Amino acid sequence: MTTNTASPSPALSGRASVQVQSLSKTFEARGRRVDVFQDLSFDVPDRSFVGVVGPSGCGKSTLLLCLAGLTTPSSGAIIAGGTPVTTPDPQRIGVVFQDPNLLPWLTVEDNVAFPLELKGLGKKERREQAAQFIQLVGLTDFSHAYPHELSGGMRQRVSIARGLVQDPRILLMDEPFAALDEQTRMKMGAEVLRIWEQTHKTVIFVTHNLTEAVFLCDEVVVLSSRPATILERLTIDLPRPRTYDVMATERFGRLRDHIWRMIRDLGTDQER
Amino acid sequence: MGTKIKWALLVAALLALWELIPTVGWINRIIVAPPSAILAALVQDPGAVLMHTNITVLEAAAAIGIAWVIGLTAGVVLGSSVRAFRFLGPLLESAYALPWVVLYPLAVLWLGFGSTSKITFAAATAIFPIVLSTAAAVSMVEDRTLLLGRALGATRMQMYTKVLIPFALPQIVSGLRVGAGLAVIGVLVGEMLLSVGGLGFMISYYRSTFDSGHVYLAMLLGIALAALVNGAIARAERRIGWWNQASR
Repeated sequence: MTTNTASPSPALSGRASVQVQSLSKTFEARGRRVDVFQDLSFDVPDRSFVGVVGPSGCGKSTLLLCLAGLTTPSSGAIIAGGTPVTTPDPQRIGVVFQDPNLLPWLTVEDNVAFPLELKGLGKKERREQAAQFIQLVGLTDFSHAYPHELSGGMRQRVSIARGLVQDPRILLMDEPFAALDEQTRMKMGAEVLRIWEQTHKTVIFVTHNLTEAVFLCDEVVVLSSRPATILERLTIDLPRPRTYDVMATERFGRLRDHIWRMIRDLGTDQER
Repeated sequence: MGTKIKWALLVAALLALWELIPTVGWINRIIVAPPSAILAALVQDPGAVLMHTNITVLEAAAAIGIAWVIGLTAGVVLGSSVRAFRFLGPLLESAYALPWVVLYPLAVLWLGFGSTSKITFAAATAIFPIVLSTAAAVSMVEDRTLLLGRALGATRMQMYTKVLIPFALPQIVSGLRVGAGLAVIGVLVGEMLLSVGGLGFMISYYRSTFDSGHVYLAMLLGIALAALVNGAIARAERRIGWWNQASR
C-alpha cells in the first residue's frame, strides 16, 4: 500500500488545529492497572476531517473524552488552537455523542440553545443564534417539537446543531451514528459532509464503521487493540466533494480493505 | 337533562337526607350534625371561624414552605452522593415510618402552645417524603446526562439548577405534594392535641362542649384546605410531568 506517499489533500497541508502529544491514559479498575492507550501522537490539520478507528474496546471513546477535556490523560498533552485542553470548553471544542442525549423537557430550539443558556445569554439572542444552526441541519420546521416527537436521525441532527451552536473551530464526534439504522446512517454521513463543507470545521470523528470512515475522512488514524497505539495514519486521497458514488470506486474499496485487514489481524492476535 | 343538573339534584337529595336523619331523630344530632347546624355555627360568629381558619392556613403554609426548602436541599445533596444515599436512604425510610406524633408534646414543651410548635412538628413530619423522593429522583439521573452537562460547559451550580433538578422535577414535585399533605395533617393534629387556636383547636374544643355544628364545620374546613393544597400541587405535577410520560 502506498497511501502514505500519495499527495495529501489540500486540507491536510494546513497548519495543525489539534495536536495530540504522546498522550497516555491509565486507570485503576478493581486494583488492576488498565492501560487504555499509550504514547499517542498525531496532528489534526485545521479544517480537516480526521477519523479514529480501531477494534472495539480499544479506547477510541476515552481518547475523545480526553480531547473534549472531560477526562484527564495520565500523561502527555492536547493542544487545540494553540492552547492546552484541560477542561471542557464548548466555545472551542464542540462534542456530539453517540447518544443524542437531548433534554426531554426542552424543545429542539431550546436544546440547541442550551449551551448558550448556560453561558447566560438572553432568550431572544440565543434563539436567534440557535435558529441558524437548526436551519443548517434542516430542522427549521421542527424548532418547536420535543425530542420524543423526533426520529433517531433527527435527534442526532439536533445534537450536531447543539455541538455547533457556539461556533467552535473543532467538532468532536463519538460514533454519532452508531445507534441509527443503515439507511439513516448513510444519509447522515452525507449530511455531515455537507455541514463540514459549509462550516469549515475541524472534525475528529470516532467510528467503528470503516465505510463511514473512508467516505468521510481526509485521514484515518488506525488504533491497535488495548493498550492502543497508532498502527497507521492513512491518508484518504479520494476527491472532494464526495458523493455516494465514490463508494463504488476501486480506490474506495482498496482503502477500506486496507484498514479492515489491519484491524482484522488484531482480532485474531487477541483471540489466540 | 344536563349532567350538571343531575349532579346538583343528587347533591341536594343527599343534603336533604343528611338534614332529615338527625332532625327526625334516627341518629342523635350530637353524633351527626345536620347541615343547618353547621351553617348556624358559621353564621353565629363568622369572625371567629375566619380567625381559626387563618391560623391553620398560616401554620400549614409556613410548615410546607420550611419542609420544601429543607427537604429539597437535603434531597438534592443526598441524591448526588451515591454513598451517602446508600447509607442514609434506608435509615430515612425507617425514620419515615416512626409515629412521630408521640413526640409532639415535647415540641409543645419546648416551643409553647402557639403556632411555632405546630409549624415545627408539621414541617418535621413533612420533610421525610420530600427528602426521599428528591434524593431518589436525583440519584437516578444518568451519568451520560451529567457528562453532557459538563461537555456543554455547565458550572457546578448550573449542573443542579439546569440539569439535575429539571430532570428530577416530576418526581420531586410528587414528593412535595405528599409532604404538603403531611404538613396539613401535622398542623391539624397538633392543634387538636395541644393548642389555643386553629381549625384543629375548634374541633377538639367544641367536641368537649358537644357542639357538633362547630365540630363538623371545622372538620369540613380542614378537609377543604387539604384538598385545595393537594389539588393545586397535583395540577402543577401534571403540567410538569408531561415529558416524563411522553418520553418513556
